[in-house]
Amino acid sequence: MSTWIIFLLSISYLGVLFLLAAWAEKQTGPNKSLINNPFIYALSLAIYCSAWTFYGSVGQVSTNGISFLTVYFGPTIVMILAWGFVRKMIRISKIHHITNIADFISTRFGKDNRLGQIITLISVIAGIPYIGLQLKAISQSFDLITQNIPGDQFYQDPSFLLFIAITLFILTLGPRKFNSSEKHQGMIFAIGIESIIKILAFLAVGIYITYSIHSGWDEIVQKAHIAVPSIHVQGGYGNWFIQLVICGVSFLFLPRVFHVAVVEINEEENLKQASWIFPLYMVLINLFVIPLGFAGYAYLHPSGLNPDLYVLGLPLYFSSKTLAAIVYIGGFSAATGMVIMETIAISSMISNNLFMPLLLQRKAFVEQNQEKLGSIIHNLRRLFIVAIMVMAYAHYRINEDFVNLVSIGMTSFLIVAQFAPATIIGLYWKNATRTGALAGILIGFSICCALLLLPGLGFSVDAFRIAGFNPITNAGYWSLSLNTFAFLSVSILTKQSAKEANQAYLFVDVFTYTQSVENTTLWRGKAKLKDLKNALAGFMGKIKAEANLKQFAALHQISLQETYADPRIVNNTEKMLAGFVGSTSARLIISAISKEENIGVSEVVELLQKSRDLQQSNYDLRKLDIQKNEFLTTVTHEIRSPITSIRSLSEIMVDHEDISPEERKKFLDTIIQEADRLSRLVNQVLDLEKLDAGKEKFRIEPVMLEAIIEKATQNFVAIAQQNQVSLTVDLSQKRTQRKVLGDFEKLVQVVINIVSNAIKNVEPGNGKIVIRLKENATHICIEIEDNGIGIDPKFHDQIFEKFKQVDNPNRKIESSGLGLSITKKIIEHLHGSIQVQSALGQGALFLIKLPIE
Amino acid sequence: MRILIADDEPAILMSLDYLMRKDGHQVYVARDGEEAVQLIEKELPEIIILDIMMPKIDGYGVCQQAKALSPTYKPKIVFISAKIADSDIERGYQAGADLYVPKPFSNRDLLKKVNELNLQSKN
Repeated sequence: MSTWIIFLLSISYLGVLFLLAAWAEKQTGPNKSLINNPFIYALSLAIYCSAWTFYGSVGQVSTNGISFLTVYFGPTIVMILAWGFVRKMIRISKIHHITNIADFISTRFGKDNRLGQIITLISVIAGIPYIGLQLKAISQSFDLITQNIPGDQFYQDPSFLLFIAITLFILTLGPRKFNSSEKHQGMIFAIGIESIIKILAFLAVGIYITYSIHSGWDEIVQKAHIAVPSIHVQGGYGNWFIQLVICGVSFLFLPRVFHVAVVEINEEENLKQASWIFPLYMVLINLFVIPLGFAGYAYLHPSGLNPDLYVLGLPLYFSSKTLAAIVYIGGFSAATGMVIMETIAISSMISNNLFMPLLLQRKAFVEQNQEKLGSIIHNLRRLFIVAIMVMAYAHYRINEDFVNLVSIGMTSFLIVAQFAPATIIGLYWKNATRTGALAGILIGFSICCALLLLPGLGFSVDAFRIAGFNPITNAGYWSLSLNTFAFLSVSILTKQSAKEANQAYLFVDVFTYTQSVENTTLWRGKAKLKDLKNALAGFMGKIKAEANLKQFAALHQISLQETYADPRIVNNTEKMLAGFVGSTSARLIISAISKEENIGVSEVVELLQKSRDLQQSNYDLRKLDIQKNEFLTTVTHEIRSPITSIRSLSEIMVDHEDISPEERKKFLDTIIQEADRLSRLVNQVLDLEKLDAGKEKFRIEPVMLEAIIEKATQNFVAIAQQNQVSLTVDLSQKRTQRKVLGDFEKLVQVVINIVSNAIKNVEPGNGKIVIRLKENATHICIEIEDNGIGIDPKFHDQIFEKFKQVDNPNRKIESSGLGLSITKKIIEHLHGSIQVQSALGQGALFLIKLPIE
Repeated sequence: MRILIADDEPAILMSLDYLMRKDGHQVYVARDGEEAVQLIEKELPEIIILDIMMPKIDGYGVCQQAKALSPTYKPKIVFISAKIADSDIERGYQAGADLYVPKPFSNRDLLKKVNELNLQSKN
């Protein structure tokens, strides 16, 4: 076909695309659903399918069998199974105003500029040949369809004009000045349209060749059967698996895919739908790869045509010019889509992560050029786009005959896949460190370079060659495994800075923190309102900046009359700036403007965390305070009773001299008892206080519980007899001489406390109290059982609390309400436990378990 | 005069019993709220001296039941309690007490006040 027809076709295709993008850009309101919908989102993800897919996979099937499928399985699996991971990335990016993958990873690891710079550089190294690859595909397909024989010089190459047109297209729609986000609504719409065109073109040629020229798959397979290298899994399943891993993990880290999947997404909801639309797209676009590969091999192999061009060669071979033109446009759209998005994404990385931090470190420069910063960055971004295109073109011209589509594509994937271990693990493992990430990525990248470049320079890397692996999967195996290993081990060996720890928290627990981060505005520094306004004006123009500020101020009822800006305005300004220059750079601009140190999102979370802790301890303290007050009230109340009796009885004896000797004795006895009760109470309060404060001294030694029980029961012989209560000790179930670690006197006190409670609770004349010892492998248990009134199960938890006595007619004879509380504290101090089993009227069984020495 | 004394502290009960008997009153003693209510229903004492924190039925409850016993029965209620905060005292009077005596108390004081109450009831 004529060069000019194809040239015009290409230019008008770009023109139509431009008009569509420009139209979509303006859509707001009701029509917006046309752009903001899951289909456009899923179709834009299909940017993953570049010219490599369109041309390359057919070329590959005719040379390498079906290993091309891994390239599609990988991302498909990711979209279906790792849906939650993608959602997490999206949520994080939204909160932190992440603009690209370098921003994402460096923000995760403490907003480290160096990490961002290294990732940018690696992405550029991986991306430029890949863009060059697309340019090559455009050029080759152009030459094939026009039968053009390019001259030696680039200006003799008509497709060179196409590159200029594409560059202009990107420059016009790509970096925009007055928009506070990295979003390109129109561009995404255009990309979606391109995805439709490429799949339609591919299906068209597939159907034509398979069902129009032939009667179906069978006929093609028969035709090609002998000649085609058998369809096989090259290099075995290990090879396959590694390729699958490379494609799967690199998918989201390709700058263009990250951009459309994470940065450009409007609503998280869209992701849900995309998780089936995108895989469906992948299936459809691969439907005819195999028959086309076979047919290409059967008809075009003899002519010596590059297998990568079979898709276009076939309609030409069968003289279907219209279809050839359609296929050409399909390939053109696959290539341009990739070039456009990749260039935009990489230029954003270069400007936001490589260049801006350098620029913004010069505070003087920032202060002087506040109002021009926007324009400066805008122009720089354009410059970077042109530079990327020139480098990509140069790369393609220099290496034109050097490599086929697939190997460059896979190399590029493999390099980008080096970001995966740090990012994926870093989203779920808080202890991952910046140094670990740097080590992993650098080691992985170096191994890739070494294993893939050294052979070209004449060095042998056979020592590292695993049998059955091709150079890419071999490099993939070594680089990814050592990358992961380095990342994990260095992370374990190094310590996070406070900032890194905060960011880790923020990323890993993003769904927990989403609310608090968005609702919090903290600002420690002071920024002049005028400076903020100027900075904002530098990016969005004076009028828009002012309108924006006013709107925000009105919404939050903030006065704009102050010299220093309200914290919320500072925060909002930073957010807006982040849309232009990325979150790291936005932070730098703000700190350049403000005179004091600022508090960023991470610090906010740190503060939140701290204040939450404070709140908790405040709450605990208050609870403690309330408990203490209650305790005090109860203690004074308990003290008042014996004092009242003592006072009253003494007064009687003073006032009534005629009191009978029996009564006098009874009263004096009572006074003594009450005085004892008072001193016991005071002692117990002090005991409890010491136990609570951990000041009580324990003399820990191995003790025989038998001896403790003997000593304790001695105290009760008289009173048991007096009350006609039977008190028996049963040691038959403890057969060994094992001891427990404890304080002899305190354990005696424990037994006394419980037995004296039991004596109060049993009916005189009929009471039975049994003390038993039992043992198992780890513990010895003291059981104290009585047949008394029992304790209602609803009080079982309370009886060990201070002053919690259950209603009991005999109560207060000798109990202060602190005995069980003290008992429990002692037992717990000895790492034992105390429990009660009882019901009303059923007696009570106290179980004390102590660990064996 | 017939006086009922209810307290779960046996020592206090013992001392008040002696004190009131020596002062020439007929004394009934109860060791919890339930016992107190039963005795009140049976004996209809003119003066009821109640501890507030008692098992089964507390002082407020006993006071309420005594007052609701019959329209013609109007006993004088005296609370004796270790609850001595202003709010406690206020609550006692709101519950219908004629007198609120904080513990510990002076016997003479208590006797004097009880006798004053007695005079009031006679007038």
